[in-house]
Amino acid sequence: MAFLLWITGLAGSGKTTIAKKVYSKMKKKHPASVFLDGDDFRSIMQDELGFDLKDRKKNAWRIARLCSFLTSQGVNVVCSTMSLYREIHTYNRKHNKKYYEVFIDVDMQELIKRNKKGLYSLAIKGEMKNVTGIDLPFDKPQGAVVFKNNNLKEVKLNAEKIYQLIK
Amino acid sequence: MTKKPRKYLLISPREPSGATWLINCFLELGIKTYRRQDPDWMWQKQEDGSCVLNPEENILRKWLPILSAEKVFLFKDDIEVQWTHEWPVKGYSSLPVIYFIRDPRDSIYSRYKRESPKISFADFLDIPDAATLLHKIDNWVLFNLYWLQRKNLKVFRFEDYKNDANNTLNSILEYIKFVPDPDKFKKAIDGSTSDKARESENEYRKINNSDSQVINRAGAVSEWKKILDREDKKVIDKIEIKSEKLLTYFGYEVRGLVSVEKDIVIYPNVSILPFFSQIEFSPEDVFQNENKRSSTLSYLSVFTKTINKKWLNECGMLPFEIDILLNNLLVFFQLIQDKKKYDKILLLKSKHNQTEDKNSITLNLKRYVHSVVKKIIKKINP
Repeated sequence: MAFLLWITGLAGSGKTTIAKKVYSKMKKKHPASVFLDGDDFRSIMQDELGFDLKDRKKNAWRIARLCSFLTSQGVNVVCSTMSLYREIHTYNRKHNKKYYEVFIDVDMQELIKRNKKGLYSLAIKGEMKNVTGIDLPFDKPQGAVVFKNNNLKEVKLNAEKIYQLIK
Repeated sequence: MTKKPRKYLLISPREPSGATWLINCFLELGIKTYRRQDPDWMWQKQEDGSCVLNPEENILRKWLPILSAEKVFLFKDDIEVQWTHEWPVKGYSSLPVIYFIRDPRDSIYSRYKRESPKISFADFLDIPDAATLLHKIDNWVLFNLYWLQRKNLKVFRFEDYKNDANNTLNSILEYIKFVPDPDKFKKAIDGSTSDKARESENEYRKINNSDSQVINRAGAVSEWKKILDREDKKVIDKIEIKSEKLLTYFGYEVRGLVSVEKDIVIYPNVSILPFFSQIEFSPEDVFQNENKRSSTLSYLSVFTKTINKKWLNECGMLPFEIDILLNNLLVFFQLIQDKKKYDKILLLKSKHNQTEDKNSITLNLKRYVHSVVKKIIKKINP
């Protein structure tokens, strides 16, 4: 039975780095697997969606529907995406027979330090709009396995822990 | 073996909420009531088991009439109450809470009148809280939202005490399972009135005439309805709009006002403010039913643009509070890597410290001269 591994967190939390590590290990054991990244998905779609709450939710719905379609076809999916909306998490749980949810929970202070483009700093000052976690609300996933303050040193270890979860 | 006393917390927002009425009643009833974690700091035990107030806490005489009426206290050994305006920071006591609240339209206005009556009400509220860096209305709202996460908490209202002090005190004593002596109960009620508090404050000021801040003002219910100034009325409306849910929760009148400002009901995103990493609940716990947590903290940048040395002298804040505010702003601007504003605050801070040093030198010099003069007088008139 195919599964969906949904790795989520705010921008800069390291979700994609960790997801790639899990995927590269998993692929050897389960060749029928794909890796789907939220940013890649946007560029594949090449459409008009922006970054306000409405468009972010629309994008999240598309990703969630595609993931459940793939798992229903017997393809395992490792998906790293922000998509921090309760209705999306509920949908995933309902439409994927095996669903694993991982939340990379990093303190905002740490995210600001990590964010080299100054995304969060600009948003806090009001110089940038539509930044999730600052001027856009988000829902922490309720049933997720939580990894707190995932840093570079812990990425390998955390990826291994997640791999053990889905193995 | 002596049994450990059962303990309670008395929590109220920093804004004048009438909790001193209750503290005075508790002390009248022989309930050891103290601020700060250590009861033995405020109440110094005598050899015979009685307690006297630590002279360092003499300022409390301004608030609590009983401290002027009595010198020696004999407390019950089975109950203690700690009172505080602190937020529920991590590791903070999980004791049952007596939560004492007052309509924010009155309590915030009362704080303004007490602290900074020389500036406008709106400007006063725009000064961020020194500790949390929140706008003062948000500060009140969030203080309540955070404390109300606690399960073992019961709310009591200032307005109920004003309406029926006997009944309110009875309900509180029932909650803390304390059976009072009927005579002492009557004495507690009679000795804790607003008039007694005002008398006590006047007595205190006769001895400490440099302290000009009036704390026992009107102490009335729904004072906000009598405010005539148009600008102040607008601010009252803003308080109501921002705290509407809480007003309803606490059973206060709401007028169903509609916001004219686009973002008036949006709470700031507190997860960025360093202070909130110390709180025992995450912002997500608090805001899970509030779809309003999404404002930026741009007001801090705006505020920083407006302040200067002259402002610091005129804002009505106490020097130590200004110090805390500037320190927290420094931490904040360092965190968001805003060097320009960081440098501005650093410069202001150094100027503020210089003034403080000068003040302290002048004060010490005055004290020295005063003591020398006293000695000379003593020698002349032994």
